[in-house]
Amino acid sequence: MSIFKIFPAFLAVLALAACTSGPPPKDYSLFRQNKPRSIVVVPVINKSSEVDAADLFLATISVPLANRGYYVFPTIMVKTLMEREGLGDPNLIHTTDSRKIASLFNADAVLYVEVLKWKARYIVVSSGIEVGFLYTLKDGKTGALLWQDETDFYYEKSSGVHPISLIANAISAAVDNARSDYTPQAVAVNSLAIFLPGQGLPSGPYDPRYEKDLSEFPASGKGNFSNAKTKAVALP
Amino acid sequence: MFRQLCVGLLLASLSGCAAKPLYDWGDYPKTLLQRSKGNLTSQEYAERLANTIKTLESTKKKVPPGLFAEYGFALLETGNVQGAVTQFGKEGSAYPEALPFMKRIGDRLTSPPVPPAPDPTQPATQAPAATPSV
Repeated sequence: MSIFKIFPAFLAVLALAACTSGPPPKDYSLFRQNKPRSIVVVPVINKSSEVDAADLFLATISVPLANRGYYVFPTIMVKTLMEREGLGDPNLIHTTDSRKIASLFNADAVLYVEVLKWKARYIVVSSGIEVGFLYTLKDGKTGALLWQDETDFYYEKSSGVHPISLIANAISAAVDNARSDYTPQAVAVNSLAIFLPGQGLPSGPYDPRYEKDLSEFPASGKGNFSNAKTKAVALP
Repeated sequence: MFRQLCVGLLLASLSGCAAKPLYDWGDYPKTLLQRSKGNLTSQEYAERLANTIKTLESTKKKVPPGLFAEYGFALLETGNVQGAVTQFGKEGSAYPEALPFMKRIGDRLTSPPVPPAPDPTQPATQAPAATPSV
C-alpha cells in the first residue's frame, strides 16, 4: 500500500462540515490579494534530533502542495542546485530575503518548513511517534507573510486506540521498516496542515475550486495569518 | 484536540471516501522517498521517473508538477545533457509557472560554457561529468 493512499481519506475528512467549527479561520486577505500560483520549497530546518528528518520530510511535501492546485518546483532539483550554489544551509536560507530566493526560480511564493519534532516516545503503557512541523509561506514579490501553520501529532504505536495510529501503523509497516522513518506520519500531518478548512491553504490555480472557496478561507482582514506558537526562523 | 477530533471523523468517513487527489502520481511518492534516502542512483532514479511518466502519458493523464524537471535533472546527473534539456522544455510547456526557470537552466546547458564571475544570485547548473549524486 502506497503511503499516499492515505491522502484521499484526509481529503474526505477535511471536507467534513464538522471540521469547520473549530478555531476561527485565519485571515487570507494577503493570500487572496497576492494570488500565488507557484511555490518553491527551500531546504528544511531540522530542530529534531533525527539527522535525516529534513530530507525525509522534503520527500513528503511536494505531492500534497501540488494536489492542492499549486505549481511546486521540483524539490530534489531545487535542493541540489541550491547546495551547489552555496545556498544549502537552511538557517541561512530561512533568513535570506524571500524576494531574492523567489527570483532565483521565478516563484510566486516561498515555503519555509521547520521540523520541530520527529521522534519516538516511550511512555509507561504505550509507545508512539511524535512529529511536528512549522510552515511559513512568504510572498515572492513583497516578502510578506501569506500564511503560517504549526501542526503536530502524536501517534500511538501499538495499542490501536488512537484512530490515526490504525492507519499510520498499517502504512508504516508496508512502506519501510527503517528506524525513524516517520514519513507516513509526515504525509498525514502535511495533508492536515494544507487542506484543513479555515486553517490550511486555499485551493490553488490548478484546482477546480480555485477562488471558489472564499467562505472557507476568508479574506477577513483580521490579521491572524498564523496559529503558530513557535517563532519561525524565517519570520523573526 | 480539535484536529484530532477531525481525524477521528475522517476515519468514520473512510468508507465513503469520495474526494480524489488532483493528480495521479503513480510510483512517484515512493520513488522520491527512496531517492531521498539515498537508495537510488541517478540512473535508477531517472529510469523510475521515465516509467512513471510513460505510464501516465499512455493513460492520457496529466503529468503532475515537477516530474519532467526531476527526470531531466536525473538525466543531467547521468551526463545526458540533451535529454535533460528536452525534459526541462516539457516541464515549461506543461506548467507556464516553471517556464522562465526551465528556460534559464536549458539555455545555460546549451550555450557554450563561459567561465563567469560567480554570481550567487543565479542558480547555475554545473557540467554533469563531475556532479556528485544527490
